[in-house]
Amino acid sequence: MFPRWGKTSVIIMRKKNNTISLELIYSAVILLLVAILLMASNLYTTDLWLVKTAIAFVLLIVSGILGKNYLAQR
Amino acid sequence: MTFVDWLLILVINGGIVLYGILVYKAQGQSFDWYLAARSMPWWVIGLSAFGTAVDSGDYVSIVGGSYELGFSQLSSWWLGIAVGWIVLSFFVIVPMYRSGVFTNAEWLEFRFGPSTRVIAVLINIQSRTNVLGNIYFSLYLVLKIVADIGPGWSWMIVVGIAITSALYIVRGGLKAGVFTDALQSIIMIVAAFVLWGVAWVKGGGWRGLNERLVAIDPELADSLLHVGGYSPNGVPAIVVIFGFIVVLTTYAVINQYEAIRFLGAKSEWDFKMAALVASIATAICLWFNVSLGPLAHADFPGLKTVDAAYPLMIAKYLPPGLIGLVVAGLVAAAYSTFDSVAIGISSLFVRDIYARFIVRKADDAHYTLVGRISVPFIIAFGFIYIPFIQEGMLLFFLRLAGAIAVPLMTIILMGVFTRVHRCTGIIGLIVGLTYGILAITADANKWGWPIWITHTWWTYLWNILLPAITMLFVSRVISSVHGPMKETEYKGLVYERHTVSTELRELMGHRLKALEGTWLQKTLIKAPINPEYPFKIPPEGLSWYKRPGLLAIFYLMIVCYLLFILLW
Repeated sequence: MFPRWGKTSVIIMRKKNNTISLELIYSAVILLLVAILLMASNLYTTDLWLVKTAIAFVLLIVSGILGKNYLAQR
Repeated sequence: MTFVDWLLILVINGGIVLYGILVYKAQGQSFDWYLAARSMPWWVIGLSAFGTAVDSGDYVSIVGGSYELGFSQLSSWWLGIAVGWIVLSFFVIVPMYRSGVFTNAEWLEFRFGPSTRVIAVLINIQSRTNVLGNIYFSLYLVLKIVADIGPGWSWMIVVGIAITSALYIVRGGLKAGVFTDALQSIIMIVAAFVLWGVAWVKGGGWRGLNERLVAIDPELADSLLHVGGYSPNGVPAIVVIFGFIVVLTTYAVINQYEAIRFLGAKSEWDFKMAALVASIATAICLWFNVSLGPLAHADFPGLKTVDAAYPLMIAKYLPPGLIGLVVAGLVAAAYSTFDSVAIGISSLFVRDIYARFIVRKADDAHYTLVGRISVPFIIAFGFIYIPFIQEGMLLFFLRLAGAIAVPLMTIILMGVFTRVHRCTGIIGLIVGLTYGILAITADANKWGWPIWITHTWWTYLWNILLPAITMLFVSRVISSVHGPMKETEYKGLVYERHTVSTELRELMGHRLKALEGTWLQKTLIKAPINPEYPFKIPPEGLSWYKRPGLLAIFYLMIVCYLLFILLW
């Protein structure tokens, strides 16, 4: 009834390398998209443009780090 | 809201939901689906516990609440919930984790009998589906006011969010919920900071806020900007603060949807450290939300629907782009609680009702399937509360929690910390619930009972003392007649610093005759034993930053100083 109880955690936690790579590139793309959308919103109004640019910049850096890790793993 | 704002909400939350659906697929076994195979590390559990505790209903209702009650609410979110998580992870969860149960209600039956188990399930279902109702209503309010869309569309979007949250929980179970919660938590903190930062700076900071409140009413700044400033007629400020602390201590101690995260930890050290992560993340995020209430009061004095304060602040201060980011945080907060309520209540329904009383001897896959099927029904149940929460979500919730949830916390704590007799659990619950319901009824029907009996804030005090004293008294009487309980009757069920878990497996499996041959019995016997620490202890002992007890004391000292000296 419970052939793998106690071993399942090992199975679940041991992700294959390609899964981790996909997670990295997926996260990088999502963060990049959010950064682009934030910058695009400056087209509506320049109110608080500096705040939006600062957030977008941080997202861009995190996205870059994730992208670099993805390339290193490939 | 502009097209870009909608896109931001969609990309951020759609991205996390899709991640949850694609990456996490639980194995078919109940142990994986309900407890993530006890594989989760401390930082994920901590962020998830925070994301679960703070939902979009809280964002809206806390700002609405602190619009009227001011900084007094900080005592709940800085101290009350931290005390709850610390008591839970250092004491309450320890015997549950070692004994191999899946739910806190399951532990209650071993400690106090089946009736307490069933009542605990009913209380959990009532209080958590009430929270779901709060979230639905808060999302509806935000969409209606900020996005300026009609009620029909607003409700359709709310229902859409509820349905998509069910998708990844059904597929991935606790693990999907916890990992997506961790991501959602980061969005929530960023969103809370952005709105607060803009409103704080544009509103002239601390001095500007003081001046604007004094201009409305000379006593308003004193009342809203001090922790001890709120004192309704007949209730001293200290009783209010006590109530605020107890309400969230209760939340953390009794809720299965919080407990199940800690039960899914890979070691005891992990769930203790998680309590600290959760407390710190909550303290940071909730400073932004609580202090937004007085800011909203200065901007919109005389609001009739106080829960509209949060969306009004978004609409007033944020330009396109940042609106999308903040509303995305609010939606993330909703998701993180939907999935938690779903998995928590599902585990209660399946283990404590369905497998215990209805279908007792099916195979493991059957119970996982029933758990998955129950998720959409649980999510839908929250809509029942919508008609009752139109006039201020926080006060409605506080009233019910004091009457119904606090007695359950009292008996859990009595069960963990004392050797009271097994029969006393149901007696304590009945005493607490009877008093709580009488207090509400007397207050609502104006029976003329004294305020110190019926008022919401006093019920928090009496619903700890009355059940606890009754349990101690009845236990003493039973012991004097039948002799004290044998040690084997509470072995592994009360808090002990060290217990040999291997000895508990057989003991737990054969403790209740009603469980012989059932799925519940088999899962108890087969439950894996996890270590106390996920690493080897060096001979010189752990460094200070790896000692959760030391860090917890440090945290509590800091918030006590802030609450009771600096901001009192």
